[in-house]
Amino acid sequence: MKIYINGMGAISPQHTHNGVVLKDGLQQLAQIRNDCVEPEYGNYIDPKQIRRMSRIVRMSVVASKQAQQDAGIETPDAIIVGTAFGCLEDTYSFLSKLVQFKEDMLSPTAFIHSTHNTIASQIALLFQCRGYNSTYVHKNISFESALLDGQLLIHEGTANQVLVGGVDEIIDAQFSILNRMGSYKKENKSPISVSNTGRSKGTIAGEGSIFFSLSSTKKENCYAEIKSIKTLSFSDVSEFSKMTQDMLHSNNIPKPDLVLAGYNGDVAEDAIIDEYLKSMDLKNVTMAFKNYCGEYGTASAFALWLASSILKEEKMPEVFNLDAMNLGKIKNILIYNHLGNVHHSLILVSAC
Amino acid sequence: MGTSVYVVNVGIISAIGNNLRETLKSFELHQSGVAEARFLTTRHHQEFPLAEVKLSNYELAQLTGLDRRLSRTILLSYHAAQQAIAPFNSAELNQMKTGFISASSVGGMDKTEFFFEDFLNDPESGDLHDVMHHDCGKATDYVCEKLGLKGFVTTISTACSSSANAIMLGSRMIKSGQLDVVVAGGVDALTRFTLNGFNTLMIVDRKQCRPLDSSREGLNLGEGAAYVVLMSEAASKKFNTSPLCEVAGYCNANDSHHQTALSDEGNGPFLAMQGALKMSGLRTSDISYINMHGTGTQNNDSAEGRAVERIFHPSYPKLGSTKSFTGHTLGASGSIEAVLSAVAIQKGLIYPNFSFTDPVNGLHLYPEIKYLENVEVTNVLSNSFGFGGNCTSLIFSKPDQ
Amino acid sequence: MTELKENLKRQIVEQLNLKDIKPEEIGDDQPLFVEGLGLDSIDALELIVLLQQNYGIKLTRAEDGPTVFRSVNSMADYIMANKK
Repeated sequence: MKIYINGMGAISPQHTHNGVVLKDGLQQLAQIRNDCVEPEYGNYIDPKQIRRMSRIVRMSVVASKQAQQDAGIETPDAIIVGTAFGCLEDTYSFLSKLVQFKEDMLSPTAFIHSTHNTIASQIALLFQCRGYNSTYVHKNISFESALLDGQLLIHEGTANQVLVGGVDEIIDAQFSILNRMGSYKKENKSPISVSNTGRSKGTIAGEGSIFFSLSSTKKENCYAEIKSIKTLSFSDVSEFSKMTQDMLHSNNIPKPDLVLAGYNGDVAEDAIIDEYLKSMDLKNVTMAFKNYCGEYGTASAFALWLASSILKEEKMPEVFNLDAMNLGKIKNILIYNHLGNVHHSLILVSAC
Repeated sequence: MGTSVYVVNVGIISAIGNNLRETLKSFELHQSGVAEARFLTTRHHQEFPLAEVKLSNYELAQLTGLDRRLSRTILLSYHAAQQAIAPFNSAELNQMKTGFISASSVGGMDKTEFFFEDFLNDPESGDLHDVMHHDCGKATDYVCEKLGLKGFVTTISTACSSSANAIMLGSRMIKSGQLDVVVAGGVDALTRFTLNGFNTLMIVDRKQCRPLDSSREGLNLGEGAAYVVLMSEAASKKFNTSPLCEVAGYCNANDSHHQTALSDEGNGPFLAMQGALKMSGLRTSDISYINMHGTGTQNNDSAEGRAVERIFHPSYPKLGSTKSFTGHTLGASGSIEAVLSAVAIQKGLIYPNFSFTDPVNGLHLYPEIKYLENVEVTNVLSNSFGFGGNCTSLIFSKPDQ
Repeated sequence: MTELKENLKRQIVEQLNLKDIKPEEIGDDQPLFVEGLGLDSIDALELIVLLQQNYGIKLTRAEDGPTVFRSVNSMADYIMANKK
């Protein structure tokens, strides 16, 4: 059974929020911290409902509405969200009041909205969707877990229009803490790239809320077909290379036309990707994507958005203003990501 | 369609016991784990009784061999998961396609809330070790690695239905052939964040909770962890197991009414139970026992009760809420109750509701109040309903029915 | 009393994040819940926090909420009767 991406909605550090990338194209991120370009929420959400929504929920409501509209669906059959850190703003709000007021006079709204599944459940409320609803919270494979679940639901026949999202936000406190841990660069001198010149310790921060409408029914607006999703944890690059080879072989794809790899600018992290690509002989067809979205737990959702946009035209869309690397027709894209050499993930997508 | 899925072993820790044997003893002796807080430092410690695991972090560390400075979440999770896979060799398990699917609602918040006391005064202060375990996936990773499992791993967080959803996902992945063996379940440790959060909703009882009773005044918060080892038919034969039960049915549905309250008619619970029954092919009269979500809040017990009435009236199976003993263990509740359900089938047990005087207004649900042994328990329905209208029902059956 | 009601309206708008409503637009006797302002049960809990934070009054029984929070008038009456 094939799984198609029939609709997408993306809020990211790029101008993706109105469904149209502006004529300046995708821009390399220049800052250490790269927040999303946000839409005018009043255009999408009733003011009475906005008042309680934190930023991450507003972004997700808009992105999911756009994905649904794009696919021509009113109500999805199921909603699944992947988020590495969940609703940080509300968690921080409740936690700081708890400390400040010494466990007295606390607000219920922040607590209710701090639960990780509030995003998926508020979307369900808005769409009045009583179907399957779940939230995955596992680091850099949160989105892949959500996608795997969505794929399984469709194969089982439990649902046919499944809304799947990858969502994470940056807040001041978390940025500050991760900075103290040495996660981020001191300066963003060279953009993240496949080339290993200019790498240093640390990465750059990003965020995003990106939703996909999946179905086994291919619509006219179809972007791409998801051929395979794989994760492998607590293994090593050689086992992961083998998994990739098996996956490509079983899909009759000797070599993908393009690889979107999760380089993030950190010397040690990127060395793992180099090793993997070398073992697969794929470096010459690889481009990075975190130079456009930054590093965050569900960044692979941005990669899937990018891949799907490319596959719809079977070439790099001119509006992206990106070098096509003389690739010729692009019919298959492999998305590869990892974090700390612990969790590796692959998403194989093809033109539909 | 697809292979059968078996529960071949379990592990559990909660306020009423550090393992299965102690847990069953507490039911037998009618001893609830709800008491004045001893381990959680909170200004509310005399106001709200809690169902704490009766071990300090230091004692948990001693028992598990882990570092006592780890999040309590990791300590509890590992303690239960280790019990579950004890009969197996992880290297042998890894020869098949394995998975570790855990669940939690607040992850390592027990440490984070201490960090924030310093951090809020001065952003350069606070021990960074205390926030390294904040995210839910961290506990899963730590435990998975310690158990030596290699393969698929993920974490689910859907509030109080989290670990029921973990067991459901594990079963689905085995049924579809993607995995052969899954250790599935969940964990939550008590935190000030959780206690104060639930208190703002005014649904926490100041006394021992009374689920399914007309006099109920809220829930008692608890903590714990539980895991089941799920296997396909082939894996179960290969490892020569004697399954406790089979996972016969499951369903997740969304109430889609309100973020913290269920609809009066219990639509989400109704859809979840109906879906699980349909999948199992069982009739309502085949259900031996319902382990109710039964938190003791006005809203849950009447909504869930109404949904049970819609499906089972006029003939109800035995039913009750074990949360009257274990407290509401949030992310761990689904798997704790799954373990109890599996063992009920294996050993022929019915668990008591801790106390009962009058049924929920307008309903005719009379929970069991005595611990029963040597009962024929063939099929158990276990409910778990979380914030955000997330409703999951699991059905367990005697193997090879 | 007028000042109390004006303050209350301002605090309600702030506590409940009612961005699209000005305090002066809330009628003294306008129902706050269901119709009128259309508040819900979570807002009721927030109003309990408002009473405690701004007036030192602790409402311990959630079921008293509908009476106390029926309107700005009823809230003002309750505050006057229970203020320490």
